[in-house]
Amino acid sequence: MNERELIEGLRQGEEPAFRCLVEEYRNRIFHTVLNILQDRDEAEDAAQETFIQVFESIKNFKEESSLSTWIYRIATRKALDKLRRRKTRGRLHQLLPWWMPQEKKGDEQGFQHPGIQAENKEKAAVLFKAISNLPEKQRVAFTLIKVQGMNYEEACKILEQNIKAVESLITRARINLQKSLENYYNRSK
Amino acid sequence: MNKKNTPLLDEHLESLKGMQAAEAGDFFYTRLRQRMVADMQRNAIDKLWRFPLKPVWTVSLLVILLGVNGFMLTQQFRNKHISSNSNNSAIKNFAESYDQTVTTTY
Repeated sequence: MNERELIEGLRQGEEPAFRCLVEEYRNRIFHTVLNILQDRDEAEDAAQETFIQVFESIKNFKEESSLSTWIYRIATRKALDKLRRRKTRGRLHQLLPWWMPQEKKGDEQGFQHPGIQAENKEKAAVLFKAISNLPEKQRVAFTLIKVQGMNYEEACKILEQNIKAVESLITRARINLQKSLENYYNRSK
Repeated sequence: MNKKNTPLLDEHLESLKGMQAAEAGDFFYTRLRQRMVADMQRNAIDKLWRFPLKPVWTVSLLVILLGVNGFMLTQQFRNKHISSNSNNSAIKNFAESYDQTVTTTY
């Protein structure tokens, strides 16, 4: 099924088209949201919400970008929503611990990405921990480009930013990460 | 930014080389469909509640309740005032009819 047929099928609400879309994109979308959220359960949830949103909003898809860019855009928004909700829950927990349940605590060693080679897991976990402290826009841009290896052009389309803005986000993210890693190793000494 | 300024970061980025893409759990599509069906059922129930729970209705109801409350309070206050006035006049009438207002020296 090519992209045109897929879009038409989705617009008609056809189940085979939807199944085809999910099979085609599920791992890519899951990988992206997992890298941003660094939590398997939340990533699974965000990936599901992405496909539900695609199914519900395909009639509004104006084809100004490719289907894949549009889906990635929805996925990054869903991941950002989850990050914001996580932050709000954390703040509420600090204010009203008896009312807001404790956030599930991440592994002390940081997020263990399932696709990282065993010998690199420790360093990758430290890096992921540092990434998780970045401001959200820097975090998403850095994750898409540097962690996932997406090219700048595609990342710009997904983030709806021009190339200079994205380059600036990456530069600031690099500086912040370098500082964060230096602090981490100075504290560990 | 010059890469030489971020040696520690570049060293850590090296650890991501050869990273395999993470895969969604098994039966992803089945779970997704289940969730969509559950959402549809929940939305159907929510629709019944959505209309009366619209902010415009809840705010209007609140304003009406406050208005009725205010009206009842003013009525109660007015009634109290009238009854206390009528009590005073009854005492006065009583005093006058028995000529209690006249002071007599013995």
